Amino acid sequence: MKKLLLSLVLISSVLASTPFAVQAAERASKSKASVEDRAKLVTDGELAQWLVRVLGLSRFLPASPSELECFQILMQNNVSPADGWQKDRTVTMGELARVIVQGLGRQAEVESPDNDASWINFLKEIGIDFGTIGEAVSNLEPLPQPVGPEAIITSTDPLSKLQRINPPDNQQLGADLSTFNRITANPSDFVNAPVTVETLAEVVNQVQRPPDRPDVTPN
Amino acid sequence: MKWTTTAGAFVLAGSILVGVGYAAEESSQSFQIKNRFRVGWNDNVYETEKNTEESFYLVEELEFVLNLDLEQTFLGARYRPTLMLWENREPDDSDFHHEADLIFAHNFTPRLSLSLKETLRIAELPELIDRGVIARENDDYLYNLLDGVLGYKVSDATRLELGGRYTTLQYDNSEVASTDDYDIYAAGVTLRQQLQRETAINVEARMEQIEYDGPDRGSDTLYVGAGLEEIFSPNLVGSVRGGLQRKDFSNSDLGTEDSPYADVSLTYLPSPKTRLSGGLGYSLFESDIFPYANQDRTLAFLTLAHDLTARLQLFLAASYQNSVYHTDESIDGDAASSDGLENLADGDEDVWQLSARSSYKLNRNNYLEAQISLLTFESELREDFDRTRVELGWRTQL
Repeated sequence: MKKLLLSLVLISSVLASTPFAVQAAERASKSKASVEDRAKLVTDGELAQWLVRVLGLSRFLPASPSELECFQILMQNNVSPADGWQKDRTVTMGELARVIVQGLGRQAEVESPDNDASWINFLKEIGIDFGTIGEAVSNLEPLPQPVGPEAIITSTDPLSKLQRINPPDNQQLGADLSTFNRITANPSDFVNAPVTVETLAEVVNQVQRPPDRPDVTPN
Repeated sequence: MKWTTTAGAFVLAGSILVGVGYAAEESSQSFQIKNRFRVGWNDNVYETEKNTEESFYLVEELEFVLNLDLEQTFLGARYRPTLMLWENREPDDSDFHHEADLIFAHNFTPRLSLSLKETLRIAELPELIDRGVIARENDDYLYNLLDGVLGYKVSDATRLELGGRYTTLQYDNSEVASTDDYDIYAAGVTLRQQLQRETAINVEARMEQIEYDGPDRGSDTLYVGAGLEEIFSPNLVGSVRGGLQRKDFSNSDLGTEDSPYADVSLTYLPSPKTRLSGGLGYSLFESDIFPYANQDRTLAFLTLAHDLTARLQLFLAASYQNSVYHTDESIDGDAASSDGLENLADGDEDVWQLSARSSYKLNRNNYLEAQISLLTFESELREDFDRTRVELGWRTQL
């Protein structure tokens, strides 16, 4: 019990103090990023990493997901550029508008989905005008129904395999599929379990009796 | 456990609220409260092979989500308490679960980054009593997982990652805890190389140490392997990893086990309205059953998501797990004998799961949903069972 309480206190301390640490770390390192680096064009891979966080998908992924892992989970959540994700491609405004609309879950409202300008116009119509990727992404919120590999994951990596224990009713890419962990830990629970009258009656009734009484031969 | 989890819930919720309050004052942030309410029916509450009991139940899930997105830093926090009430489940007709996730990512420089991920699960699963026999011990538990990765971009095409992970599982019931509590420590290094725009490879080395309480089923495992990530087409992406693992059991009688490990993952979008995902993995894995120290585990899943209309979505998922247990990878001697386990045998377990869920979007913040899920458990070591659950629900974003 002490271990449980200690863990709770430690974890809660981390949860409570992290926002303060975030600001401190942000202030400390902001000056280190050179103007040149910050002006660099954004690639699909960087945009995908950003979207995964803002759309609330990080919890389905390892602590530091690869770009492909980000692409995969965005595709599973129906967020994908017209011609797919490409790691080193520079993000265009048309592509950005498309994934922002998809992140808002409003792609069905775009009149001409094949035309990039329609996606940009749609954003303007709903009052989202953006000049940078940061402005565009700031309009996003965590998805109302995020899907991800929560209940079953096949990764064998000890640094990224999914937690094996979850309370009931976690989803597997949208379908409720609880993690299976039936903890009858000891096979002897059943081997050594005492037999009740009811169980005994069930077993006895299943035993086949001889069809006829055997003949008795007098000595 | 009830008072512990309730107290824990207040502490966790308080922590999140402190973070929310601070974030609201100082930063651009998003904060959401979601609610998911379901009415369900379970045809096998006690997960038994015979004399099954069915029950209706209610599930109330609240979810608090906070995202704090700064220029070089991201913080995500999520807390979800879940209350379940059962119409026909003795001796305990309620469960109270807690899930908390915290994600912190910071770029110190454009090349150097740190990611931390904290996962906490506290769940109540009551004792199962079947025909007067305790079929499952009271296994309320606390599960905590802390991940950290330090990444350094050596060049535009090369990235080096150092990772560490600590996992702990602690049961509330002392008898279960004495054999099944564990701590897992893992560390590793990954070198990723972008070969072409569509192709990346990596090489990796991992060390994992498993320590169980009680009789020693622990082990030290070394992994050495490589992986490939490929964008096959705009609609198809996938990855494959594989290598060798050497598991050195702490119990000297069990020696060392060498095995390959591998996993494959694919995502395919056959149309703008349809998404398919699948995966397959095989490795040596920590054991679910005492006194076995290891299982050879194979996992596979296939999922389909389809937008039937702009408002109606259908999700299907199927999964299969096979676990193989060997007597020569189980502890023996006094510990096992005292538990009446002298006659252990090799054995397989198979778990099949199938689930379908449909979700109808009433408006931007409200969804109705219906689902059915089937589970079949077949074991040569434990009691088989089948379970069906049907649910109707309402999900809303406050």
